[in-house]
Amino acid sequence: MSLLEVKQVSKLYGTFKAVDNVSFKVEKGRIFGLLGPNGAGKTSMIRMINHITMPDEGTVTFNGQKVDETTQQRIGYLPEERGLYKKMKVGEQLMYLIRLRGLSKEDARKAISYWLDRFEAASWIGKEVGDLSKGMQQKIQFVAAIAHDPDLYIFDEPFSGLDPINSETLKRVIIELRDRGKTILFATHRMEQVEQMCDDICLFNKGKAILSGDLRSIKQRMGRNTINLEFHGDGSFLDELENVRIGNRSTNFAEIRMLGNTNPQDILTKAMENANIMKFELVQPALNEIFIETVGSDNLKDIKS
Amino acid sequence: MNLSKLLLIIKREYITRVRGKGFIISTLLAPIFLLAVFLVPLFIGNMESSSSEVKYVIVDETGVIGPRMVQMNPSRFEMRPNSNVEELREETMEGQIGGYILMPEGLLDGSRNAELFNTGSGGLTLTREIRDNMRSAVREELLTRTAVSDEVKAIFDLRPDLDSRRITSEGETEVNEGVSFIIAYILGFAIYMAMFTYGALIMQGVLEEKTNRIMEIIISSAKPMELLLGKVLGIVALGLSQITIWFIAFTGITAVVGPIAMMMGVGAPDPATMASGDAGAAAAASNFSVPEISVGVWIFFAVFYVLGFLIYGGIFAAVGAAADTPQDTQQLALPIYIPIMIPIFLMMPVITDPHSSMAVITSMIPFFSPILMMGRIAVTDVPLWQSLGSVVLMILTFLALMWVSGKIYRVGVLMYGKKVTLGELMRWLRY
Repeated sequence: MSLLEVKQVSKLYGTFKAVDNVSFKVEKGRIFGLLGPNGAGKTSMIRMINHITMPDEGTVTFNGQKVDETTQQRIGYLPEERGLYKKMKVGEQLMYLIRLRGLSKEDARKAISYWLDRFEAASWIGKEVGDLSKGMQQKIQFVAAIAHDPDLYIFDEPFSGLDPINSETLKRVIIELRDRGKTILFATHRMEQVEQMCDDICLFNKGKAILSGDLRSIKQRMGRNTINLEFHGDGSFLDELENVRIGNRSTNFAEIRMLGNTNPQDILTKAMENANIMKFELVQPALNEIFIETVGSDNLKDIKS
Repeated sequence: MNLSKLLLIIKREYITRVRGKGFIISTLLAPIFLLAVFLVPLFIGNMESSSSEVKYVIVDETGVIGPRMVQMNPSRFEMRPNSNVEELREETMEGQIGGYILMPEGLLDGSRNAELFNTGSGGLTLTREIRDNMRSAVREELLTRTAVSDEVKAIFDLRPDLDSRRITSEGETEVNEGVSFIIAYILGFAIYMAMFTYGALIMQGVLEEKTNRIMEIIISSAKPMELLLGKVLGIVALGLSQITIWFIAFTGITAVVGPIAMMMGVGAPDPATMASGDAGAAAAASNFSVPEISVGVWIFFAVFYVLGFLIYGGIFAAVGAAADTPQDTQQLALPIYIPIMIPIFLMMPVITDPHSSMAVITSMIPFFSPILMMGRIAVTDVPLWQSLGSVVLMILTFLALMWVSGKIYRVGVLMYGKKVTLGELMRWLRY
């Protein structure tokens, strides 16, 4: 049985369909990526999983049980919009938030001291949150989201606004949690950030789930149809290539997505005529490319803007 | 409804607020203010009588009234042989004397009036004091001339007073009407202020949770109704603590004010000053009595305070949830401020005639009851069906409003970056 199962869920806000007949499953012990551009319906979906809002149609089940107040306590949630009570002390605040999740005072105290140590934040326990730096507040927020030892962790845009050090810490913690058998659900529009971490994905666009499944097999299905090219010299030849889409381009690097039956050898020949080739590699497409391809080019303008 | 969560929410709300500057300051300031309300008139009364020690010179053409007045009130009046008006005028201007009084011959037969010359700084009290003294002197002189008996003189000196007593179910009590009016106002105003300040506190609290986005975390841990009720009850608890502190402070103040008044010599005015018509001190002394608030009134006060709060607290929370910026709250809260303010305007007519049908009806309206029924209870013995009836009505109103507020709160807390209209709020009720 899947840990989390979303079945034909729809959510309407007025006449706007924020989530449209979405189904996916999250398996235990995996890292699941809920991906898509801003406004695709990710946060609306997460709110329903958290039982903050109710689906208009369909069901969300957690461990086979329809989500309610009891399943809420088995979920840890780091919302996209972060915030804490500025005037409360770190320790009191964590105690409050964690106890609201159903932990006893004693368990909460242990969890707080464990996680504050883990984030090297133990000395802030008596400080008011408003006096902490932004990076410190972020750490406190992680602790608030994860310390009640839930089965499922939901992180909505977890890396947005994080400094590199905190990003790295969070990544390590996430891997560590997964290795302990916990399940993680990410929601993000920065696909490259989670590409290396996700086991499974579900791509969202305009309220619909347009692609879901095991990331590795999705990529395999796409085949090695992307060229990573590193070169020295004039890159203008790239503009002359036909039947390709170039993403992620810089002065000496290009990610070339071959469309239709383009022969990679032709591209290599053309490149060698114009520049010094440092690296030529045939790879599976990046998640971003997969997304763009699946959504279709007609949709592209909306997404980029 | 999860009780342990509710308690956690109440506790957080209470503890963070009770340590706040706002609470500490308002809790301390109110008794100080109250103390001032009772003591300032005493001081003023005292100051007036001491500053009015300035002498007034009597220029007496009757030859008899002047000496009588000096004898009556030697600290005020003085007679000088051969004083001339020019000199007196100068002395008055220089401030050496308060002024002078010209008493023409015709004063005794009523054909002329006496004239008071001063720089205009004496005030009404002083004018009244001088006039009273003069009238007494004239009357005494005329009575003496017509050789009436002492009995008749005594009749003229007789001044019976009117004491008012209130009949209550517990028996008769002596009342000082002025004081019970003041108490009605103070209690009504305390509730009014509390609804305003704590209402705004709830509103800001919800808005703050919304704008700093902690709402998203909390709302995924507790139900909106638990949060709303917890918030309101937390602040009710805060208010009750404040009342308790005030009650203790009030008891302390009444214990302290008495002795202070005695020290200042106005607690027990002696007949001499009364007779001499030292109006300032006399007025202060007669106005002064340590006000007593019965336990019953305190209990009603607590009940109305809590209920007033519950009624308005929920609405304020809903407004906070519906708003997106502090400016929005002001606009949205306006319709709430009106029913809070109306009773303050109605207070005077209601407590002056607490049994009029207007008073009964307005004080039974749940939105007005906390202030108006409180005012009536403070000044009179309100029939039980009215006082308890208003309590029941308020409880019902609270439950109905909680349901409405809960709906608005639920939707509002997750709605960011949108200005909400009243029509939209109505739609939320149907979600």
